[in-house]
Amino acid sequence: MPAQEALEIGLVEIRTRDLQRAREYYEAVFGWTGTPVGDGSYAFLDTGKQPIAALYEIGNRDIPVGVTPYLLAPEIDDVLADVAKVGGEVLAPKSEWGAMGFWANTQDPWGNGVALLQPRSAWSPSYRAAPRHPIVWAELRAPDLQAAVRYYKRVAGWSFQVKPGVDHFAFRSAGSHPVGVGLVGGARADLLGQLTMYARVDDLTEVGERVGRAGGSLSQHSKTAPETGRIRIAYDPDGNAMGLFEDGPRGA
Amino acid sequence: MGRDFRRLLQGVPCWNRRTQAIYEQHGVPLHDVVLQSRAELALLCELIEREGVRSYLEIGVWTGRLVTALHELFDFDRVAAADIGVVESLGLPLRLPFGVDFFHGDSHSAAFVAWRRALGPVDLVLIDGDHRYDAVRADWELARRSPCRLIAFHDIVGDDPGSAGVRRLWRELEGDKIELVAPNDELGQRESTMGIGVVRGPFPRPGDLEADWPG
Repeated sequence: MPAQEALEIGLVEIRTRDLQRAREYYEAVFGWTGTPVGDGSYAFLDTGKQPIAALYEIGNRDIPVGVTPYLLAPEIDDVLADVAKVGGEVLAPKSEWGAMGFWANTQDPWGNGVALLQPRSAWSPSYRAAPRHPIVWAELRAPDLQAAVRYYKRVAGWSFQVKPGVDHFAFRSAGSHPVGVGLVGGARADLLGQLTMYARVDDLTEVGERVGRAGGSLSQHSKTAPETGRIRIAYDPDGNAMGLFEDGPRGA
Repeated sequence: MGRDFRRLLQGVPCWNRRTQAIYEQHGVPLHDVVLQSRAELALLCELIEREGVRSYLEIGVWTGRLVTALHELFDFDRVAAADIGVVESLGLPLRLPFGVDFFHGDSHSAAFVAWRRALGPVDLVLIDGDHRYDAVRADWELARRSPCRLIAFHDIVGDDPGSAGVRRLWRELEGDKIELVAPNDELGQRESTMGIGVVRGPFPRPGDLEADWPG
């Protein structure tokens, strides 16, 4: 059977308790300008490149803050059927999302929340800015790496790669797709608290300083990402994580 | 109607002007791309689809881009690869599809022979390793004594001295041979300087005794 057409991440939604504060933070740190829509509890952030980002103000304290990637799906119903077949959970069924189209929310068997967006027409946000600190990577907990590779193959049509000799990590390369994906398996998965998106930055040190000035915080140390560069985790004022990724000499 | 592989391969970096320039300067294509012409790769994909290839072995993977792209397109039931891992010493990454059965070593070694035997039947074997005549001939001898349906070679045409061994072997081979040859658009070529040759089996043919295995 030929592989299915892969689903790509088109939108990254960041839940916040204070939309105005979050807008100021993401503009100050990443240069993403916000455009409020609807009743003012939602704002799109112009990253200049797919995926676009969005802020969603959640008043209900029962709903945690967090970061959720949206996969662009031609038919949400088909994806939800696959999610159910391979052990995932449908957290929110397919619903209308105004002029955007339809959405649904799911969770994989390892607790990673991945939402779906079925746009009414071809997904082509009108970026006003040049790409600034684009979101390029998603890292997911996958204690059972084999099962996770099978899950995302079925649900999203993703194929994963490995580095010979490295048995705890499978990845979907960033070079050929808008957003690369890493599955962290085995015992190392336990070190990963939550699904983490990463934005590419030119200068990790400089952006890190902006995080502090804008009211966020940073993971203690930067780490060297295999082959590619340096990473550090930035936490916004709500505690949402956004990885900072600085290219190494070889690039991503 | 078959899939449009030219379109499906658009995101796959293939041999381009930059690769060519690096190759002309250094004699080695120090570039993390599929070392194939995109047009010829599309022809290979059409053949894979037409022939219903479900298992694939690549000997000589460079950075792993080709085996990865093919596995993404065809979701093979079984995918295997062998490479000595030279790219890592050249500062390039080596990445392979998840679930690949990988032999990290010399395809002319006794260990490889044992690994290949254990691998069992494979629909398509692509030989794209050491291009010197003796080396590619040894890869062919091993491949044709193992159960498979199709054996392919890269670099069967052109005048690159580095591929002379493959061209000589290709000329010498007999049987049902298919040539997948198209100019590389990304180099503005009028004639191919690479080409993929495929020998149709099944292999081993009668008379190719197990006892003849080299190594």
